[in-house]
Amino acid sequence: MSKSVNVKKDRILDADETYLVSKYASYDTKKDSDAKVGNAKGTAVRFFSLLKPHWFAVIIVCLSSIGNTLVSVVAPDYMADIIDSVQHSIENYVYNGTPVNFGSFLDFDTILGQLFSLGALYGIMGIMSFIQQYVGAGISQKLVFNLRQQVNNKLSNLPLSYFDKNTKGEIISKVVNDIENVSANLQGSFLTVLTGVIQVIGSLYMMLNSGNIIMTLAAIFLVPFSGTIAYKVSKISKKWFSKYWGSMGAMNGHVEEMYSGHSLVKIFNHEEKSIDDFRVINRNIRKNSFVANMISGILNPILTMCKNINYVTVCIIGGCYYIGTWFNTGIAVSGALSLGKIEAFLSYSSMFSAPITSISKMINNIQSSLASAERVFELLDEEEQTPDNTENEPEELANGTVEFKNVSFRYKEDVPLIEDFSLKAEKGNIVAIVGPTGAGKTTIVNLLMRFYDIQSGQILLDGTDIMTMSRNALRENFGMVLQDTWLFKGTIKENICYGVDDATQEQIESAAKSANIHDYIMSLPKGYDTQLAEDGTNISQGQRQLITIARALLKDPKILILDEATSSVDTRTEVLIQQAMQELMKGRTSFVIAHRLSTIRNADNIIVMRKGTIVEQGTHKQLIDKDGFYAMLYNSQFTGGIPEDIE
Amino acid sequence: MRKILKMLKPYRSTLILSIIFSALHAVLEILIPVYTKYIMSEGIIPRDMDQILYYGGLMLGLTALGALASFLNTYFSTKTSVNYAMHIRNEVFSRVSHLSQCDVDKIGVSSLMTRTTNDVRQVHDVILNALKSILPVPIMLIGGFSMAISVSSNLLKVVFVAIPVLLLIGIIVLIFVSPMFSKIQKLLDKMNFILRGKINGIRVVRAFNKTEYEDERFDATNKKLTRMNLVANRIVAALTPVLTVGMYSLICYIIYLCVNDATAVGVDPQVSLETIPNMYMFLTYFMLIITAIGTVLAIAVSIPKAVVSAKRLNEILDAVSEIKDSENPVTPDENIKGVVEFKNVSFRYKPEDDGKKKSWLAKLLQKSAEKAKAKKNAENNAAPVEPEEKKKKTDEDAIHDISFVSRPGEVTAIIGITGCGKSTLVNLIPRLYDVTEGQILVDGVDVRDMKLSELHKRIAYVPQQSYLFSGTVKENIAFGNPDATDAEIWNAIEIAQAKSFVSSMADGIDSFVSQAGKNFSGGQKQRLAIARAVVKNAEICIFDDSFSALDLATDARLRASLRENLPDTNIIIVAQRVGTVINADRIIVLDDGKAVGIGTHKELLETCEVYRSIVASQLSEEVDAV
Repeated sequence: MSKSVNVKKDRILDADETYLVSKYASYDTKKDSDAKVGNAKGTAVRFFSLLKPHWFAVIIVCLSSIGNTLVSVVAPDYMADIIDSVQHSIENYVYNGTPVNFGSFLDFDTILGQLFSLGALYGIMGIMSFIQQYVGAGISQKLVFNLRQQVNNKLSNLPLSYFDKNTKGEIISKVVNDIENVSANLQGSFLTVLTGVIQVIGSLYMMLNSGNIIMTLAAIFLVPFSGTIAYKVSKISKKWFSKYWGSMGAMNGHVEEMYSGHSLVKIFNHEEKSIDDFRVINRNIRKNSFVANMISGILNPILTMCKNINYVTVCIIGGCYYIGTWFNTGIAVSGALSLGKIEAFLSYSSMFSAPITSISKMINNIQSSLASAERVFELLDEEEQTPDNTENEPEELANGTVEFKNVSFRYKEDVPLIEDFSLKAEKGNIVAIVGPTGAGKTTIVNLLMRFYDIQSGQILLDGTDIMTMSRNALRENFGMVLQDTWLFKGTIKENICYGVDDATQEQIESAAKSANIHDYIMSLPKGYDTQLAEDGTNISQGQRQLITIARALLKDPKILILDEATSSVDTRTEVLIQQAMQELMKGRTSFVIAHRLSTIRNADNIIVMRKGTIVEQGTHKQLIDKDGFYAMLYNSQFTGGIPEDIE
Repeated sequence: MRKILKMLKPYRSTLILSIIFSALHAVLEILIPVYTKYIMSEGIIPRDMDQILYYGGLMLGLTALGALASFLNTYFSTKTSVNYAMHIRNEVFSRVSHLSQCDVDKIGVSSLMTRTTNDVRQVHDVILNALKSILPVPIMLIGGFSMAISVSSNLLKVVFVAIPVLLLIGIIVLIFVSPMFSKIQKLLDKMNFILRGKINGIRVVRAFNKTEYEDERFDATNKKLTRMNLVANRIVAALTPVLTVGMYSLICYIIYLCVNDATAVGVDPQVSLETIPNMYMFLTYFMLIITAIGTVLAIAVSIPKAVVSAKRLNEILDAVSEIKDSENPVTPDENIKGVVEFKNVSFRYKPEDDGKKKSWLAKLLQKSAEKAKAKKNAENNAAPVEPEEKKKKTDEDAIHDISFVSRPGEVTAIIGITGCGKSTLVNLIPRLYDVTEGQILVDGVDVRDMKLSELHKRIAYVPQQSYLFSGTVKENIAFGNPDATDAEIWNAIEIAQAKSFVSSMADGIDSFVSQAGKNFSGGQKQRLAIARAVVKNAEICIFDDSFSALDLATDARLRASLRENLPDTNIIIVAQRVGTVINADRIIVLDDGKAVGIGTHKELLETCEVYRSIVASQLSEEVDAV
């Protein structure tokens, strides 16, 4: 293999780079999170308003970090005093020269005192920074906790249309990644900016306070320059980084497709082409990543150099002050500086410029966490489902009579779907809903369960308008087996008694027996305590369906909704499922979304849907006699004469 | 890890240059405090302006050189890093591309993707960071220690005691806190998992009135997570001030020591005069050393993560596909076109039989099984059913002793219940797997003796999951035959019964296909996948349950047009529906990997019990109705 790789390395890859990258543009996951914040100010304001309940803690954090920074700003002055004392004593000894008993010239006690006060200062700094970190961690954790809680509650109260409109991946990423992103950057960036600003102002004040404007200028004159450069460079590098993420996204796209279609790639002899394309994208990544890293990498040397130039300037100008003349010109310098003061200016010089670097590095983080916060807020601002109306809250479970009275509903305002639809299902009736894929069969289910609310007309349960009872009370009456079998990670037992918390083992087993799944479960080494993987992927589709049937059986509902999709189930299992479903429908009002027409011939009422509207309604015999769409659909199963436009 | 490191070899020249410049930069950085000292001791204190300017100039020069070194270091290290990352990615991708379908299934597409993208980044970030910052550290340390010696032996003691103590505190805290962080990660995963479940099963959750229950579960985890986060963050919060206070107290102590030394009896006055500059220099060093140690600690923390990634990458880099080109490939006789013969073919999934070649996979499986066992904890227990089932499968043949011949112009259909081995059977023909016993001959030659590309040239294939690639409809269909003209593509589309919807799209065959063909319905995807196979115009065409999403009528029309337009092709169909296979020249009824019946529909109705029961379950009511 390595041989072929070497050969390929030298080959000119001629696939079109830009095309490949643009083709997979939709895979660029990072693009969104780096996108500009739509309303940065609004988001920031709203974000800080979340801090309100923690105002006391916030004030403590602010005060302690201000205190901490102020102390660190004052410290060099104390240090200067110590240095001056020491130097003074030593110079006294060297130049005024009493040879013996050096100690007597040095005011040891003064220095010790100064050292202790410096130590105390550092001690205060430590305490302050501890308070700041400790309380700060509390705030940000509580804030994120609340945010998660809010988002979770929001998800519970959003109408189903939200979940149908947005992909699951998108929603999950909002809840998980975005909140994580906010929490990761929150504390750090906020405190960096706060202490940075105080540090800049404080050190500038200390320098000006010493009254020496020339030294102050010497210490900071390059900072505006380095600040501008930092800003400009980070802007350019951001552009390249987003290009880089774009090409990474393209790679993810290519890799995902090639791995998912692995057998196709092999059998259609596309391995070489696929590897070539990968190399092209990979080269693109290399280019973008190199440029992006180089540009941002230039920043550090430039900033360090500016800092050092200021540093040396302070040394030289400080030297002039110490000596008392401007260089060797003999022109007197007004005001002298001690060695300690020069040293203090050196400290202030770096204190003044350091935050510029750290804040400029922080800007990207802040932007990305603001963008995340904005997306989370968007979710929190989504319109919730209408609040429950409990006007006619039923005391007990319904008998199972369901009536649709002149119901109209549309998902989109300008696309009529269900218009003036009426239907009555008596207790124990079977209502079948048929029609080609995409005809809107699940809409009826959505309306019945109040996943969506009707726009006009009424749906009555035992004569009571379902809009006048709580959703929970309504849904209490229903059992549901959907095509999309949803099982969660947990034991089989937990999955079966999802609807009924206090079910006994006997009840669970009898439900499983009726659902034809008991024998299979018992054949597993751990039986009912067998762990299912997420989405139940460790058992087959058919078995999953049987478990959901057992789940519905255990709940023993008055009204049943069945989506009998069995396309990916083999015939034997299908027979089992059919039997179980028949068992399940006994004595219940049932709504069946049917895919095989032969199974619903004995339904009490068949609703035929086509292209989103109800075209026919009646019993099997009535509909066959009518010789309309249903009859055509029914006959096409055997003759193969179905028209093309059916989809 | 060593293997991944070895892959740096081609980039050693830029790597070495980057290390040299990073070392140079470190040396220059160390020199600055030295010259600060001289500027004080030679210039400022003796009030010698020339010396001040001299050393000031030197420092500016050094600064410029330092910036240059740092720039060059960035240049070479970035160059190394991007090339290295590209190299690993290329290697991993082409390895995976050459893996057998079996291996891909076992590791899983998402895991393979993570390896190609995240793991590569993880590894190369850490390796390069380590290489970049490890060399400056000893330089700093040596420089620092020698400075300390030159100033005073007391300072040396401080350095020797203080630095290990600081290090120790850091390490202890890390040891204490890092398990907490991994617990936090687990809780976070659990919370995400709850949320995912809630969103995926939203209809069920609401239908069963379980919203509150789900909320409670979420709340409980959220609370636990927050509590854990608080504790961990507060410990870290305490660490910073402790280290700061410790460090600054040391500084005070160092100043005290310096003063004490300078005032000792009998010290040369000239040496005393240098106390302040020395002290200043020493303090600067002290800070540099602490920063350097911090960097090393940070890298040390990230290493375990990289090792895990490296192991995962190694698993792929070490993988040898057991399906390889034969060493002496045989090319079939040109006169034989499209004959498939199964001679007593048996196949079993058996990791242990693959010997050394696949030991990595066996190990992988074993490991995951062990892990599952270890976590008996109910919440974290990942699907113990799986290994059990796999074990069962490995005990017996998935395909047992099957023989048949299928010739050009014929249709061979394979029917049976799910899990009986239908897909496995047809997947043996293009060597997605290799037979365990017996042989498969294509055009008279054992498939294992043929070159893979030769074999695949003869086969068109429509997989069970009709997969489309991003791009246009045209690109997707031309995947089967890159030289196909637009007319040929349209023809294939027509044969596949896809013309009505393709031509109704605004851009026709140039219409866009999004990721995995999400903008097409299941039936449309299936028909496009069939068109892709048709356009290849191969001798053998395999349809692995490729009509399942089509309604019966389209299914029938499609099969008729396939036969009509590809008269000489050997068609092999896997199906669930009796209607699909009813007209085949040969129906193979599979039951638990064994062929329980081979013959036409009529013959089988008479002779094969299993076939009769399948037919009965599907057709009885239809027959009634007619």
